[in-house]
Amino acid sequence: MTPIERLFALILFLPIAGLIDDAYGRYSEINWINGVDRLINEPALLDSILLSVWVALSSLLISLFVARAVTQKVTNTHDSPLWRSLLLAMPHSALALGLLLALSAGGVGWRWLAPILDLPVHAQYLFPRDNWGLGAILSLGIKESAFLTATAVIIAKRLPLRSYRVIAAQAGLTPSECHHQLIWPQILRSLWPAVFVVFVFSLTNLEVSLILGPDQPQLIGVRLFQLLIDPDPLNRQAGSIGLIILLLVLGLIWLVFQILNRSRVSNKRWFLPRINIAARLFSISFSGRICMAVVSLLIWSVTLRWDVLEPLPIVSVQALTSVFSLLPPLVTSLVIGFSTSVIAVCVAVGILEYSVSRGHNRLHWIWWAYLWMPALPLASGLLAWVYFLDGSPGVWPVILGHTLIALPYVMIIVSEPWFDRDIRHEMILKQSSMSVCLRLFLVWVPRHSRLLVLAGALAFAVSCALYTQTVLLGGGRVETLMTELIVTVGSDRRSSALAGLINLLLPFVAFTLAFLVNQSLWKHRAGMQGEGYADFR
Amino acid sequence: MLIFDDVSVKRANSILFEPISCVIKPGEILTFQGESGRGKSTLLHALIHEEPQVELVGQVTLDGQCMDMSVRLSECAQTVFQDPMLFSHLSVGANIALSMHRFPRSEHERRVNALLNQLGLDEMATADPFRLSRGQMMRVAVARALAPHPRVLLLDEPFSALDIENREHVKTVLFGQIKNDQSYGILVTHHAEDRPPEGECICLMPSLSNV
Repeated sequence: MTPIERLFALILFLPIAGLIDDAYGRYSEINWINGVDRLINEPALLDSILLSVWVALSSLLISLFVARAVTQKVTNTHDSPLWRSLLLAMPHSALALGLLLALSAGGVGWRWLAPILDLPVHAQYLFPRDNWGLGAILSLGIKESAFLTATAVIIAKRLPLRSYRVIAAQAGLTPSECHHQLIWPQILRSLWPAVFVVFVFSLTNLEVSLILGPDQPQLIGVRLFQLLIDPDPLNRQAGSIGLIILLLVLGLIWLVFQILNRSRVSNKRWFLPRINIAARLFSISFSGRICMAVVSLLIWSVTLRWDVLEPLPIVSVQALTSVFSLLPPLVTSLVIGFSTSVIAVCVAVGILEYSVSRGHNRLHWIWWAYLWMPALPLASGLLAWVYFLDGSPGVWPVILGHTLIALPYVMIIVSEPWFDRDIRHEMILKQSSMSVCLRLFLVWVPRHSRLLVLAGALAFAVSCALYTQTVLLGGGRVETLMTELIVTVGSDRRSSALAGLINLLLPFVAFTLAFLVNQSLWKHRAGMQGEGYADFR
Repeated sequence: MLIFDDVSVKRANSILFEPISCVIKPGEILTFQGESGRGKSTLLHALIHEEPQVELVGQVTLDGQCMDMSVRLSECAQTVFQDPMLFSHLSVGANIALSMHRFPRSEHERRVNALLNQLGLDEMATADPFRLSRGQMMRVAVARALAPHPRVLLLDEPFSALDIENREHVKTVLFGQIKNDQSYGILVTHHAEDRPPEGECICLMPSLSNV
């Protein structure tokens, strides 16, 4: 571990110390046993836990099967980094809202299908009776499938796929059997950090479950969040204790993941082709669901009035006047997103160059640990430290919180090409007598500029999608499109749809700009046309 | 003079070849010739750069000064590798000028054009290196190494990517500059025909099995 990695490990573990302090009751002077008692007596807590585990496992399994099916298709055909980036850029909450406005009883899709299928139509558009958390599973499944597929494709590209296919064909295996029995198990072995990220995210997600429910009972993340922001110190203490227990359980699950991953070889090949059909169906409907969500957001954004019995809404440009009320949160989102993106990319470049100079050639696990850590304890622990350091919640703590989440993504994307450096290039630069700084700015940053621009766009997209960090570290006073979306979702359908639509478009704009910049930046350099980084011969 | 005194290379604590001792006079070229896996390229790399698990043993003296193990020969040597190793974001001229960082900027253009002329790459200073043929790229790499008139030229099979006609021409330019500058050359090769016609020391790489 380099001193920088130690520092970031400290930043990660300090919030836990803050939580323990809070759970122990040092400030509230309430005995921690009372906090435990309060937590245990929380109504329907066990139901919430079981429902959360069900939602997390279901969305994880769906995502895994989709990733398996899509990876097979993608590795057989030409893979474009554009679709991967665009899928990764999609803010999950805006997507969830789009699905809500499409599929709920008062939603667009429902209204159009109801007369045909003779279904009841209500003006109500929430999912109040979604006892199984199906809306959350559907929404999380889309986002997580994209994340797992993108990670799996990167891993698959490192394997000698062409040779495997030849060997499999000679052994009498079909291309599908080759993928499921020979290639996917190898991908899965390297995919486990991403799988654990998905599991933790599904288990502790706040934004999607606040929008889509279920709400009878709510998921464990929402329950703990409500306890944490309660004015009653006993409730806050119970929330902190709950988060510590959650972290301990996640630690145990991580150990199980490790042990499962340690079994390196198997005497049997995997046979799961039947389930693959369901995954294929899910992945085929993938684009359909995304389009449905976007169309719903678009329709509700310009709808002035829509009678439940009418097939089409009354659309008016006047409806768009609510966009003016969204200007301040839009500006704040842009400022926070841009700052996060610039800081995350600069810090990542500094850390990676420092690691290379120390002879390191692979990413330390601490960066994955940032993604394994649920947002709620990290943000609330950071808030405790902001107070401890005599600071107060506001825009800067929010940018800090966003950067800490965006930085690992940037590190994961940039690290491999950065470490994959030919020692002979180092030798040529050393012989040129350039200083380390000059080498960095004249050679290594330009060499990876395409990838850094893409990483910046991704950091911006990550920032656009963050809610927990914004609310907690901003003390509820920092208004972004994401917070507007959550606030208006239960009351103002048009404003929330408009906030969701803009929130959905922002990362797309960022990625489009990144692609345009990349295209114009190195259009006269044949060796710089690779996927994000140069092809070196 | 460039003196090798019991020089060898250890990888993971095991020695790769029997220690070498030799003296190279200014304008001469030391040729390491031998089969693959004898440690020729590893020795060349170890003369410039410290690598994990690789240890350079023995003593190297250049012009009466013992080699400083922290910088090795990196400050006074240039290397031509088997591959061109060009930087794809820089033009041909900028790739060549990279090695002239310590020279005044005014000299860059003159020297770059002169070298391109010498190596048959006229008016290619602004060209994209990755649109050149492999042979042309290799000549750019040679120009980059020659540009700052280095005290030591390290040549790691530099002619393998060149056709016969260009090979002879590049050899003339390379060996000619070493002779004119009274610098030193260290050439690593598999082939006897790559060796310079005159003014060379030959070292057939001694393997451990021959000891």
